[in-house]
Amino acid sequence: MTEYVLEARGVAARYGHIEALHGVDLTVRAGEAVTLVGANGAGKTTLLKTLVGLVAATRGSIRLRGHDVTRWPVQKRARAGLALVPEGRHVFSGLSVQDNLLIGGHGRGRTAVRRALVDVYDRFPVLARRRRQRAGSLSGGEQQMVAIGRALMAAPDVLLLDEPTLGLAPIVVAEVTDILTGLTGGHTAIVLVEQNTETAFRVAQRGYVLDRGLIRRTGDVADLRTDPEVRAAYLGETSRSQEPLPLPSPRKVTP
Amino acid sequence: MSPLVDFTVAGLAAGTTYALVGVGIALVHQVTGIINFAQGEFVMLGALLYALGCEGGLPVSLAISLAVTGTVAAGVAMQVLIIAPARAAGPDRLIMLTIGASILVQGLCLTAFGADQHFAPPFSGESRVQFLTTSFSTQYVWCAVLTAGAVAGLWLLLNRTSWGRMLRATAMDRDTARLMGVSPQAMSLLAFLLAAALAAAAGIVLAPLQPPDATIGVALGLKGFTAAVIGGLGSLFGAVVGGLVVGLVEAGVTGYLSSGYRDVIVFAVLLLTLMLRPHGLLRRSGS
Repeated sequence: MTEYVLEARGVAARYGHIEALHGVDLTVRAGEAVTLVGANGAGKTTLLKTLVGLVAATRGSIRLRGHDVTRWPVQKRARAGLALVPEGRHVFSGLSVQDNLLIGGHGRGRTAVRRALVDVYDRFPVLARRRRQRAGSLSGGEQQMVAIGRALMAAPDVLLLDEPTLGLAPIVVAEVTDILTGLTGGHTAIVLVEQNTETAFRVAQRGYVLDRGLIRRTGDVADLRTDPEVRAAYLGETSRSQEPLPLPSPRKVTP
Repeated sequence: MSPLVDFTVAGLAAGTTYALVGVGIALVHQVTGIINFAQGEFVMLGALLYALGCEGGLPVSLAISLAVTGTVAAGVAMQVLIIAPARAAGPDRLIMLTIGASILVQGLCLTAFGADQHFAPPFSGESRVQFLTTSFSTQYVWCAVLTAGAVAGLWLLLNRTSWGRMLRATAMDRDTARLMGVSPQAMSLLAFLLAAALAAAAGIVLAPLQPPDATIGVALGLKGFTAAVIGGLGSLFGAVVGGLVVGLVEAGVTGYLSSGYRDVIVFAVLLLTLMLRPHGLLRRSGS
């Protein structure tokens, strides 16, 4: 039995003729929280989409609990335990809050769904109060809670979150950060893509630094947080003592 | 019966058929992004199977079962054998495939049943309903009841069952529904199945009013498409209203102008809607 719940090896992906990921290795243990950091265009969202199957991997392998899921369709990976909370939340705006959550529990038994619903409402009491309201009429923060709660309804092995605090008011960012922190340490592993460094480093134990489709650094969050190269590349801080990282040029791939 | 009431009742009755065709087209379009131009052929198939069952001496209940089973089987076969294998193609090509399927269904029916009209008796015989100072065939009442029942049943399925929830989620955001584990292929199959069942219902109530033959599907499909477009293509309720509008326009033109202008004016309405209100008469732009 593999020690990793999610294991990506040499994963490459492209949009048309432009390769966006050049062979990425990423491993996540059960219950662990990792963060992917990097500048805009580094390939973080592409990596998440490739892991869940929305973007096809052109090379490499993706294993979930030891099963090779590289060629599985999105919905099969979701049912196997990979849940993505996409950037922009993507709640089903015309459905009620409760229907959004129930969709997340699709494929599970009735008892398990009922238990998961109680758990989500315990975690997000505001959603219990608004369960009959159309999800599209909620505030951005509440919609983010719906999106996270909906993903949790599947009791996923790995929860992937793409910019969960993007576009939210500071007070709501703090609330979402608390929610994400509260999710750690349980059964579900977390892979977090987050521009907000405070949130990313507070939630995760380990981090990967992506740059132009390659992993440039990996390690404990405490180490990455103080790494001057990471701060320069990710936080936008400049340091005269640091040479720029040797970065690969974007590769054009012949189909 | 006064001509106005006469035309109105006849128009609403025909409109219920177009409404059911339009609802089927709108449902499939919402879930799959495809406009199914074979929907009219499924109405023809339902009507023809029902009439053939009645002509063959089957009790009404068995003739209805034959029509529903045969039409749903054809709808499922179309999705499984034609649409699903070509799912990687874009919606444009899939729409072309539905036109091909329409020609295929019509050709098979012409071969199997010939070009002759077939006859089915009204559900309640020749009895008539008294309304104010006029009376009309009870088959018109059956049209209204069956259409209302079919639309209500569809509404309940969409809003009160987990399958309906998944269909609506897929219609709203296909990729996110996939991320929840919902199979778009299963939803596509369900949409085609439901659309075929609606078509069967439309054909069954239509058969006693308009003796069907194997060639009536094209006009029914185009008028159902007009109904769906008037309703905005994304609204089941809109498609019902669109169908009734088409039926009333058709009956009004037939009664007050000439039946020769009937299709011209109905399709002029379609063109005007597409040019002036492409999002439909009942929907706001961008909604």
